[in-house]
Amino acid sequence: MADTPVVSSLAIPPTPDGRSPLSSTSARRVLQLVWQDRSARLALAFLFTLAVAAIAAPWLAPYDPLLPLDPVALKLAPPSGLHWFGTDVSSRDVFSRMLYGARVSLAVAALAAALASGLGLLYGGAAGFAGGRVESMMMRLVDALLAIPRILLLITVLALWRSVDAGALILILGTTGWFVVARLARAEAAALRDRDFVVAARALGAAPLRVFVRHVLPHAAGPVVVATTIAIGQVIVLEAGLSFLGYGIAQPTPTWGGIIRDGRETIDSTWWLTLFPGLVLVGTALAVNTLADRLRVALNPRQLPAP
Amino acid sequence: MTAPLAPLLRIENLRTYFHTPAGIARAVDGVSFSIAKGETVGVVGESGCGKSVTALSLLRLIEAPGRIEDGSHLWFEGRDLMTLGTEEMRKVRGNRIAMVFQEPMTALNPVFTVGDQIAEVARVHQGASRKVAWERAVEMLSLVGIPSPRERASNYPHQLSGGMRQRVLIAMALVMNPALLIADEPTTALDVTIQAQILELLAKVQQDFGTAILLITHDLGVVAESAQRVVVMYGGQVVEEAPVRTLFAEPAHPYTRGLMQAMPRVGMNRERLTTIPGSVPPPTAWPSGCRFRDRCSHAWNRCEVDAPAMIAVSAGHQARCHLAEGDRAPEPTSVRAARPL
Amino acid sequence: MIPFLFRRLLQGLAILFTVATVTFALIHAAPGEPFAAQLEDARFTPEMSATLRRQYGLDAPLTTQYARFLTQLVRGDLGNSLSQHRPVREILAQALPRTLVLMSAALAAGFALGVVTGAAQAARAGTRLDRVASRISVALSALPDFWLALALLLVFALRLRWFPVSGMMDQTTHEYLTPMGKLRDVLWHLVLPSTTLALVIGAVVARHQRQALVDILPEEFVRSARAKGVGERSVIMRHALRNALLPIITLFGLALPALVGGAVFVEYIFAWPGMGRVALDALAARDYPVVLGTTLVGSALVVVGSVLADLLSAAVDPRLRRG
Repeated sequence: MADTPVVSSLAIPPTPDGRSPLSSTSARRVLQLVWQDRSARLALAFLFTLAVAAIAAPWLAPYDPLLPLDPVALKLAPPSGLHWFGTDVSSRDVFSRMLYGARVSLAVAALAAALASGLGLLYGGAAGFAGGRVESMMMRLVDALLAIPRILLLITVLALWRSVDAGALILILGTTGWFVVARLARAEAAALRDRDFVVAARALGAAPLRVFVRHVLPHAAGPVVVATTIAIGQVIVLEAGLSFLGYGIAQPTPTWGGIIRDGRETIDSTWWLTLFPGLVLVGTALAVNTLADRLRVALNPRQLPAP
Repeated sequence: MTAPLAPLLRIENLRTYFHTPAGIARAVDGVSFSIAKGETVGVVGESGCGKSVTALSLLRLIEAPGRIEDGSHLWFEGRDLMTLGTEEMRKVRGNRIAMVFQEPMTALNPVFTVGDQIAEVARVHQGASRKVAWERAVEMLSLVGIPSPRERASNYPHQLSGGMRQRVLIAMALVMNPALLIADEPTTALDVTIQAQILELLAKVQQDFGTAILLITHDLGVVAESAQRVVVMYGGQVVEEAPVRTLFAEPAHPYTRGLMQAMPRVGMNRERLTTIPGSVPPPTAWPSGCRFRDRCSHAWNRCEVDAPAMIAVSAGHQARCHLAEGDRAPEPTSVRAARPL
Repeated sequence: MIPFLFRRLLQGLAILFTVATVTFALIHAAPGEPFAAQLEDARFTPEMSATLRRQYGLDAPLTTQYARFLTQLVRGDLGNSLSQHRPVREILAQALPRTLVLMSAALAAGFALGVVTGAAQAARAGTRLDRVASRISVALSALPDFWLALALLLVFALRLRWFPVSGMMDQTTHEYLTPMGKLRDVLWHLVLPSTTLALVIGAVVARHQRQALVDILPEEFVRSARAKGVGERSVIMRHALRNALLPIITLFGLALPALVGGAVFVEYIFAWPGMGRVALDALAARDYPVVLGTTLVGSALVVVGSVLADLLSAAVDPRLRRG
């Protein structure tokens, strides 16, 4: 529910001279604009810290995330000086598990979102560029796919395909998440289709494919960047949800959702297993959403942000 | 003040300032004039002179960052509207003073029928029941000359033409038979033929109900046709006030003269229209002295330092200009070259 | 109005048809045969497998299977559950109303909360109250549904013991209750799951409603209403709000898929026996017909909801009625 698509407001007008808003000079300007906002700075700082922690997990983690430390004495121990986030039912240190879990969450989310956006950009861009009946039919398919609640689609795919290693999960998440981006890309491509520089390129004899790749795609990339950012946040939450249900990446690989799952049986007494992963999840989702919001404003100065 | 009786409305030193981060915009800066019962007063001026803000101030519809400053008085029916509380003021609006807005499409709520919107006035002020209010709405629609009023009442704004929508706005304003009707550019958004009909309607209303009308417009032609007295505004102030015939026969203020010269007329034998050189200065920074001096072909150094007061020219005719008291430049000034716009 | 309705219904049907086709494609694109697990059961002799294949119609060419699939769908036949040995239709017919109850309660509460909050915020735009409320809604809408559910479960059911921990009714005592008592029992169980969803819905709606009103309030007709002498409350509630409701209704239509998705997690955590629960149980049991059935029904829900949203939009805004 939190991931309500904001399709129409993501349309970005190209700059008057036809340059894509994402050309190198304006990319710097965009970053500048984002940086100026305090909450966006905080969000970036948070995400950066998270990413660093994830990458440096092998060095930062005080304990081995897979190692049961003391099945008797340290089983389900509350947070303490030695174990900042406590231990889980197999007496593994939760803090270390969360560090390693960050790797999973961030990597899966980034890759899946990239895959989804790539697919969406290509599909939607092609549809918008093609126009006419082809465009209608292609987008009808997208409408139908959008009508399927994502979690049900995921459940269907999981039921039919079964295997859930990281690669497969990325693939599944990516191939079920490109629909919104496809809509955006189509809108942009359709708007660009009749613009002078595209017609000019074609008049010069450029093959449609070349025109598509060189001229249309870069322009459509603008709103897609914002959508991708939002998607990353959504996928992190989704992946956590799947792990929570038991269908994410298989145990014993630590995942944030998995830690919460572990703590479910004893939720009444082991509050730390629910709280810390939850807080990090919320923080990450908030940070990503804030960033996406600022990016959208930066890419389209006419949009006014809500307080 | 020309009315022999006490005037219906007396605006005294109205100042409406907008306190923006860019500075204080003195949109209305010391405006005073009166309207007598049953009189039509036209207020003319270019955009940015403060006439619409004056109208909104009368109904105290100014919102932050705008404020009607202290020292402004709006004497109406024996009370100073500035002293009224929220609820009391609300009872005046639409009831004793009503306003007709400029753009009929946006002034009507698109999701309610026109009948409903007219009836609302009766429900709000008279506590009328739905049925009674609806009947009144149909009656009003008929009054303003809309054919098949009963069917039309069930229409939505988007189903009506521009002229009809404007009539609906007028109907809405007349429900409670107000003593004063403020019409803000009532014809600007309409075709010429419809314009004439609307003006005719307003004249009829005045005749039949004795309603005073404050007619705000930038169109001198409208004023010539409909008003009995004219107030010319510039730079947030009144610069000239006169009975309509007098104004057109002997305009005293250079601005008024400029406006009249700029009006295209049938039978004109010119290639280009005369314009008043320059443009209206921003309300955040009115020039010192006379506000019109930068665009005036008769200005001299006194105009820069000495802001003129309203000076009587003849009976009921005043102008805010040093020329009006017979003063003029020590040596003849050449006509100012037109400034590049 | 009628041609408009008709066109919308046709569009909805087209989408459902496409969803069914996509589902069919998924079944047959998956590695191995559909129902391979059942078919490769070691106890089956090749003859038995062949028979079973014929029974399931898997020996026929793809197009025939597709046609059969569609005709079955139109008749309302969703196949049989592999784990429960009942028609899928029966299982879903039981579970769907429960999900509908949950979603309706959540939607009603969430929209009411969101519209009121958003309106209140818009009326006081820029004040501290407004900013605080905005921060809260942003935070709430970023929360993962399942985590919020867990948090509410922990605090209100386990710690405070105000509400039951799970299920739709008290299993032991429910049959012995009076009809009134039964209703209260179910309602009491409904509170936590629907509140979870309502909070998230409310937060998103509040944000959109606030923005919609802030966009509307400067409109001329609002000023016109004030000039008529209409009281401020009436100006906001009657004139402004009805116009500002439009984007909210559109929002409803767009957010339906996510809403149904959220219900899945909530049903799981609170053990509410609705469609989400059924889907997850079926997933665990590799009961494909049931999983597919829930996907189809879930999508149908979304389509119906979005047609309703369009109808509602047309009801609120007469300009949309021209079809």
